[in-house]
Amino acid sequence: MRSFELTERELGPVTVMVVAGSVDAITAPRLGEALASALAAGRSRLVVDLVGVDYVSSAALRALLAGVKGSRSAGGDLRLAGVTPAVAKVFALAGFDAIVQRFDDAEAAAASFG
Amino acid sequence: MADTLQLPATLDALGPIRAFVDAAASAAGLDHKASYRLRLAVDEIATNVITHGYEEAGLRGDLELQAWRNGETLTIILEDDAVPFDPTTLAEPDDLGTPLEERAVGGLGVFLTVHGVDEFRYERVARRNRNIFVMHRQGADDG
Repeated sequence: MRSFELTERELGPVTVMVVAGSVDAITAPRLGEALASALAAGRSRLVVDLVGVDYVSSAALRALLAGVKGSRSAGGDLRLAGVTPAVAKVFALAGFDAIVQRFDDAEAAAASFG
Repeated sequence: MADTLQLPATLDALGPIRAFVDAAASAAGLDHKASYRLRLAVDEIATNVITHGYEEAGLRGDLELQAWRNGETLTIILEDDAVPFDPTTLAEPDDLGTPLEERAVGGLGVFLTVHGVDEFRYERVARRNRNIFVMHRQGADDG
């Protein structure tokens, strides 16, 4: 089990958060805070790259959902990249596929903002 | 046979709990997907017990886990003496198909639990909460 890591970079107007490890009740607040900080700084086009994430619980879904709501109300969006099959199953079970757009990698997700 | 784990009910317990469940799943021969579903289920319920059952109620205590396996099933039992709570009474989220703006997120963890494991039960025994998670062992045969 990898430990939680979060790094941030900017691709033009898009903020990409690269997450690794487990996103659970302990670590999800750190993702939530990073998303809230970006939104507070006026950056509402968000990509969360989950390629290094091997585990998510409902706490991760709640943090992402808050980011989706916040970004859309600011005229942007939150899009996902690099979702591994195990994580994708949790998203599917929770009904997230109808809500959040997914892309193969962060570059494709960032480019989708046009 | 049973393996057991007892530890203080704080969020720091989640890592050791997941490791315990992973080890039990591996010993029972569960595949990767089944292991993930079981780990997620125990994690969700343990998180609820720790945050709602103990911390928000101003209580301190322990979590006790047991792993039992027989020829057909792996059973994880999670016991606590926090506030009595039966997760199966939580209504399933009925808003999964509704627009994002109207969605609530309550009960999502329990939803993932109930739909992730092959069987989930709650019992109140000797003033303790007992959450029971059962997975079928698909053809694994080390008894």
